Amino acid sequence: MATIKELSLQRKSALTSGHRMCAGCTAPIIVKMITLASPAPVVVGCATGCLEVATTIFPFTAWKSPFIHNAFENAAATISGVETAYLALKKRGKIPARLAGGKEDIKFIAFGGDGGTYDIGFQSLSGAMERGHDMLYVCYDNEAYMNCLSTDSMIMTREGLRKITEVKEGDYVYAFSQETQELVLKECSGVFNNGVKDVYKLETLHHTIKATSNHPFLIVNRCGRGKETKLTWKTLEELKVGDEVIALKNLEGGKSFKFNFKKTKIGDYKVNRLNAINIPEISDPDLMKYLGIYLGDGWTRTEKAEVGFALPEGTDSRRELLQTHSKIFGNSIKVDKSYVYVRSVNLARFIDTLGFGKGARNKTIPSWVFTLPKEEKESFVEGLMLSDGYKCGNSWRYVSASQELLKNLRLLLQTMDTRVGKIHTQTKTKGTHCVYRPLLKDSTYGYVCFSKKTEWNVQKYPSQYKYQNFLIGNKYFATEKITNITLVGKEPTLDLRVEDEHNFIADGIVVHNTGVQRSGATPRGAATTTCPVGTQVIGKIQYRKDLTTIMVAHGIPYVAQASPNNWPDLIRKSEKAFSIKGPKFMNVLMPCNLGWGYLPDQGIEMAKLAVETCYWPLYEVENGKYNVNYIPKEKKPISEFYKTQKRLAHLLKPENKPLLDEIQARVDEAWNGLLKKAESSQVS
Amino acid sequence: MANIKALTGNDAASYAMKQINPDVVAAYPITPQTAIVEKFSEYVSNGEVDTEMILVESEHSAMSACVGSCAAGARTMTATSSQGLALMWEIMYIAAGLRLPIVMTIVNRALSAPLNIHCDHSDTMGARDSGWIHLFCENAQEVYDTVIQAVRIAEHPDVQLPVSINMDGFIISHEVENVEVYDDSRVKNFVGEFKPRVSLLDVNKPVTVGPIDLQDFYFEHRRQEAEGMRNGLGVIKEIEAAFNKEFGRSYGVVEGYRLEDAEVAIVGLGSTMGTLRSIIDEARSAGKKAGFLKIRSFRPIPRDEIIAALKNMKAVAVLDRADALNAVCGPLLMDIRSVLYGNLDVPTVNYIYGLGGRDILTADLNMVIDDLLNIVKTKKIKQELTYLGVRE
Amino acid sequence: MSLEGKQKGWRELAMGAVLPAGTSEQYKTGSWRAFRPVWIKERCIHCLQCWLICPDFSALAKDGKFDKFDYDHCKGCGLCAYICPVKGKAIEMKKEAEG
Repeated sequence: MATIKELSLQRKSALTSGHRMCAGCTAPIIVKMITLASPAPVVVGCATGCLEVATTIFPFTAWKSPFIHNAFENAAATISGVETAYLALKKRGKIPARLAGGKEDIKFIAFGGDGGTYDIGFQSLSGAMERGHDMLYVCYDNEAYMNCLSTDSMIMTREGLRKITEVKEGDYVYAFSQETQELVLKECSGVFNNGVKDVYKLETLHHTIKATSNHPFLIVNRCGRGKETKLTWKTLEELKVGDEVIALKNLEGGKSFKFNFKKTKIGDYKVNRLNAINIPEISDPDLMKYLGIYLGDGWTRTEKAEVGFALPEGTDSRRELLQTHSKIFGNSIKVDKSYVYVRSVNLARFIDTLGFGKGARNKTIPSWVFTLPKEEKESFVEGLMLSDGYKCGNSWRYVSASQELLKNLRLLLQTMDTRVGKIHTQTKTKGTHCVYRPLLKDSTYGYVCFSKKTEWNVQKYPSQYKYQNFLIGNKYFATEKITNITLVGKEPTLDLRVEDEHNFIADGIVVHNTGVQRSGATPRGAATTTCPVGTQVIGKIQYRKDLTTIMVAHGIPYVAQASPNNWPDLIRKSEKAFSIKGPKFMNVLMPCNLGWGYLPDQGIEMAKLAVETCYWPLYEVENGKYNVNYIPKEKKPISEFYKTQKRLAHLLKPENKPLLDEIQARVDEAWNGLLKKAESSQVS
Repeated sequence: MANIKALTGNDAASYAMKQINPDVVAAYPITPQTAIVEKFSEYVSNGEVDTEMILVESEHSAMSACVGSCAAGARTMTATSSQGLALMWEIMYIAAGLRLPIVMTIVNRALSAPLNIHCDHSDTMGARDSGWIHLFCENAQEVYDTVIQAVRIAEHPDVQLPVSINMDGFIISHEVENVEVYDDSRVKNFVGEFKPRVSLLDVNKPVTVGPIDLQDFYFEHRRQEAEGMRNGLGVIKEIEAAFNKEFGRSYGVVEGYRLEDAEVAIVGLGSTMGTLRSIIDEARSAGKKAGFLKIRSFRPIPRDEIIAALKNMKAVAVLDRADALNAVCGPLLMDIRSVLYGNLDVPTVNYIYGLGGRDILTADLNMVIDDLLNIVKTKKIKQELTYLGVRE
Repeated sequence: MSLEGKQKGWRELAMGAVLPAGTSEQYKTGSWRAFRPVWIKERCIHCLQCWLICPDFSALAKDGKFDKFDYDHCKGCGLCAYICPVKGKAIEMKKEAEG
């Protein structure tokens, strides 16, 4: 490969000065590098576009090589005509050696912008490549493409707390009304699977959520003394410890849950004897207390028609249980020293349908509990406390082996205007007394502490309280300071789209939804986008086909992707292309300072960022064999690339951030796919 | 001894192309032009020509490749019809604007919608203003001769414009006629070597083709182009004279038939004029003083020749095998009337006929003659525009 | 052909708007500048990266070494200064007004 010095001494560029491209435009740099790489004279064809228009304003042309511009969509066809004419005239001896510049064959290059190549010019490109003309097509791509939560996230829906994986299109979720700052119910209009991504854990005093670095959170933006405090959206990576996010503290109303249980009758499969029992049809505080106790200490062995509780004699919990049992179920109950039993197929089956889970580690609070009225919730918690909880000074502590139960309990308590701490974990050795009885083996437990919130005297110190809690006085929401943000690792992620408000409550925190329609886990037609700010922005970052891969599919001898920041790579690829006979295609990223919005001397830096974020991988495919030419030591998130451009600053706004998530997922998918292809190319 | 072959119009065109043996042909098939491309590719496959043929993926690319090829200094030809022409339209204007002498055979076919593969002139009418020279042929012989002439007309230094040769789809293109073909060497000599004005392949003298003109230059370049078109008439006549000298045939930019002592005349394009020959003869036998004026050079408009030919007419009917859909008349009538206006005061009436391949019958044409004679007699025009042959 | 001078009429223009190569060199884009690059000779290692990167072909090289800036055409984008690998930079962007 020629060195820069050699290039300066031996080669000539097809372009010269005096063109009217913007100061700092990378297009002429790309043309320069590619044409310098040619050892032979070149003939250039160009589609209508920036490059063509700014270089050929009559009577000035900046082209030193023969140049033809025809129309917008036919650069490839035009150059194929020129190349064919060359063949015809050579064959007929009409090209004297001196005209062809000596021994070297003329190299034919067609330049097209991404518009003239991907869209309107695609057919022409495809046809020319297919016909096998000996030409190089270079697409200078100055376009930018076109937000996620971990799949563990629990979403506050109308039907209660649900895992994000269980939320469907058409479900109603709770959202934060940015206008009224109230709790509202909005329809989920899409669920999006964004694949495996790097996920961060964001913790506040009472909440924990896992999200990707570009997921937007609603935070309190304190603008300083005398200035108005606003709520703004910021991506996770922009948040710092101490920033205040909006969290749900209280869920409205709620109504008693109607059970949909069909009692088993005598004569049903394997049922030849039945104990009479009254199964309630609707929830009430007593039942909830009962179930709370059940969740902590109970089990069912449905095949044995048994519901049991580990409640030793003389404990408050046993007393409460027995009381509520007769009140609700009106059924006989057997007791012994340590346990309480109920023999009832129906009760066992009934409890099984409630969704509390089986086994100590699988216990959980089902979503419907979250929809209950406050009173019932409180009874439920009471019941829980009677079983595995205890008072600890001014607060309560609940212990459980089930992490999920603790997580849900935390979220449940947060809908009851309760202050809840983190989930702590501890290991206790065999024999240690735990609550009522010694442990049978070493066990790892988790626990949460919670206490009732004290009411602040807002009237007395209004501004002070407002300063401390921006949302003080708000019935449903409170602000919480971020205490920690750490990278957790790669996890599968999902995101929702929510109509109107475009946010929802995940793990108790108000987060933004996703804005893009395509590639959803739920297929959806092209619905309206959420972004009012310039449909043109959305239009530009809509998913673009992977043209480079499409060109590989044409079976041409050489396809490459390059970028002007890495010119040894770009020049080497150009040289290689010129040495190959047949159709070649190169897709080169072309940062545009006017279109993208950055300072004129940052063009190369932009290209570099695009490569370092793996948004624009540098690779080549020679006769179908993939080779990745550059693997960044540290793969940066796509936001690093986007945040530097004014034109993509829109994506930093709440409505468009979700597009960033979409794009990141796509980038990652493409990059990983590319690495795999390269790997299998080495093997084969 | 004259070499007479039984050729269809398409075959005649491709035979002429074979003898011309252009450097490059870029074409895409479309009915009823397909046979030209097919036949020509046969010639290529058999080595009867050493033309480089590009089988492009669309007509748009065909014309684009022709532009590239011609700008590279290669003699370039192509052919199309109807929708293909419509698709090429954008690039046709560019070819003319770049002053590239591309030669194209157009097998006239109706434009969609509704889809129709049969003859009418709406396709070329859509490319009227493109800056191309459009020549209309009456039969396969004329097609053969005109294709050969077209190369020289286009390449003439005073013209430097692309040229189209038009023949009626199916009527001429698919019907076998006796065509006298000339010796390869004579045709080769007649067309001569292409001496390109511009060549992209001359890397020692590089040029830029197709720059952007701002407000300060576009007008001038267009004016130049207009001049090329104006020069076209003189050049066509010059080439015709040379052709006549060599091969003994010429057609003129217009052809008047029995107009010297006629009272009424029918003006038209294409194969219908062939049909009219015998009808005029018959009418003459019946004592009707009718004649016709065949327009061969549709673009450029042979203004002076039209005025001269019709100067003694008392009524003129213009046959249009296309409707300009302008609520008044057909396209040829617009040209004829605008040429006659202020120069010749003769009543003109319009007949739009044969759209979508609808046959024109001798009875229809006779009726036209009678209508004209009626106008002369009554000095009244019953109907300015008649849709001849449509079912009411 | 200059911008200010008399422009050709249609009869004088070359047919088909064909242009001979490189006429844009007569068009001085240097007037666009707000900043101009100044070469610091002592620091320059003649790597020629500025020559390669300049979008306006205004960082001139001669005999394999940096020669000078073409101030008739340099638009002052600053890419040369950006790319200069030398510590402290061998190219400084100065305000055009300062000269």
